Amino acid sequence: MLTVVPLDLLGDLFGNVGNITQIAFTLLFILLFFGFGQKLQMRQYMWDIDRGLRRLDVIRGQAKDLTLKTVKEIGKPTSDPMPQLNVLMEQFLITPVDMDPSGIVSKFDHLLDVHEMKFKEDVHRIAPSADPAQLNNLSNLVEASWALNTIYRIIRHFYLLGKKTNSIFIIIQLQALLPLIMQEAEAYLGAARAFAEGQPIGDGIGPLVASRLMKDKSQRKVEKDVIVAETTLEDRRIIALKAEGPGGNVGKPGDAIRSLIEENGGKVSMVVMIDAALKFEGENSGEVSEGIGAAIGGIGTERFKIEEEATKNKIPVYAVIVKESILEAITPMRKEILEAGEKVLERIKSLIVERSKPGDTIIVAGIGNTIGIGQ
Amino acid sequence: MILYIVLVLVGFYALVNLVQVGGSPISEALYFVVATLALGFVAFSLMRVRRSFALANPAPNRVFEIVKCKQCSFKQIKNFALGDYVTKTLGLCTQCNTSNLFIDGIYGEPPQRR
Repeated sequence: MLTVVPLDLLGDLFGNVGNITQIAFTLLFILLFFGFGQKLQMRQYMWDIDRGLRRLDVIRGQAKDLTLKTVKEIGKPTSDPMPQLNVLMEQFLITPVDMDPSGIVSKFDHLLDVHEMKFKEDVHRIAPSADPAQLNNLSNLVEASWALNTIYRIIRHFYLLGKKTNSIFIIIQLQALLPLIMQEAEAYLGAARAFAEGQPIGDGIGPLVASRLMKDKSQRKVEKDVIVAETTLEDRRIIALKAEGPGGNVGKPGDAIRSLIEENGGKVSMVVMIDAALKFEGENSGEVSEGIGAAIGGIGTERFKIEEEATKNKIPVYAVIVKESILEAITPMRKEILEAGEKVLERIKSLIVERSKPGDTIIVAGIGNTIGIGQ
Repeated sequence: MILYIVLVLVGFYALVNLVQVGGSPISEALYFVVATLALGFVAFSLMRVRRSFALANPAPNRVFEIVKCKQCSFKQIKNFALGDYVTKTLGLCTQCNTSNLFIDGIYGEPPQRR
């Protein structure tokens, strides 16, 4: 329809010359839209990806500059940390073989322990003056930069592969995923800023609630980087736990819950886990929901330990989650998420009253990154 | 880039013809359509580029602390300071002078996008 109107006009305007032009235009349109339609579309998609890739490069550059600046400010390195930082940016982890899945969780756990230990040691080497909390924050910051660098490398790889092989299917998939990838990259940049300054992030709502339960109570360390305190709530004995803050840390809550259950001879009436969870589009941030099961993210090793111990001792595990987006989860905690902390405490109280008797022992675990949250 | 330059030239050519040369109503309509499409496409593309730059440099969040007294009702909201964290004590309360102030919460407000 669109092509017909101007062509008739040409015919009206210029007579025979117009008719020749009309035929030429028609042929041109047929050639463009049927012969090169897909090519043109692919070219447009490639422009979009190229633009996205440039933005990703800018974002990863910003994160790397911020990391370098923070390392220099906090860590006071004696030599230029750039070469070592570049080595850290390219680090990888080879996952265990899963052809025979038996025992894979302990293998994963071991690998993650080694990875974390090495990563922290490497960060400590480039930032020798950082204290333990700052070292944790710096490790998180380097990880955020690493994530952005990896995203950029993967996208560039598929873009160049699609370009090289002239495969429209690779390009289409990449172009379709690009908005989500960009959103994630921006979230990581926000996270890098929060990690550099040690500000609490949305994922820290679990540790925040646990810290409120632990306030002014005697605290002790159990397992790796996990702090525990006892309190009473509605005449029940509450054992609250969270990762040791205020440095960026998630601890090993699976090991901690296992050792607390063993410490109490399996006499724990319930485990309540508080964590941030990804909301669906259209849902409000800071909404609180409750369910059943171990609310903990990550690769699955900690969840496995909790599920195994709970099943062995027939302990019910309840989950209270605070809904938030991926952006909110790793950028400074939004007000509505902070305010959800009070609602979570109310939910825990009602859960405890409904599901246990006075005198029972209950474990309340605040799961998440405790950056900027003490105890 | 070359496409945009060509489109701008075509758009301006059509616009100049529309304003100065004129002609029959049909040719005027044709010039108008060509000018609108060419310049419209360039303007739309420029807006998209501008948006992509704005997304590439998201402004940082503004971060605040909620400071409370353990004893009295004192509450203050102040800007986040480097090294502060939730539960950190900040010295005696200026209102009751009996208990310590502590940071009850830290939150960020997203930058306002224009």
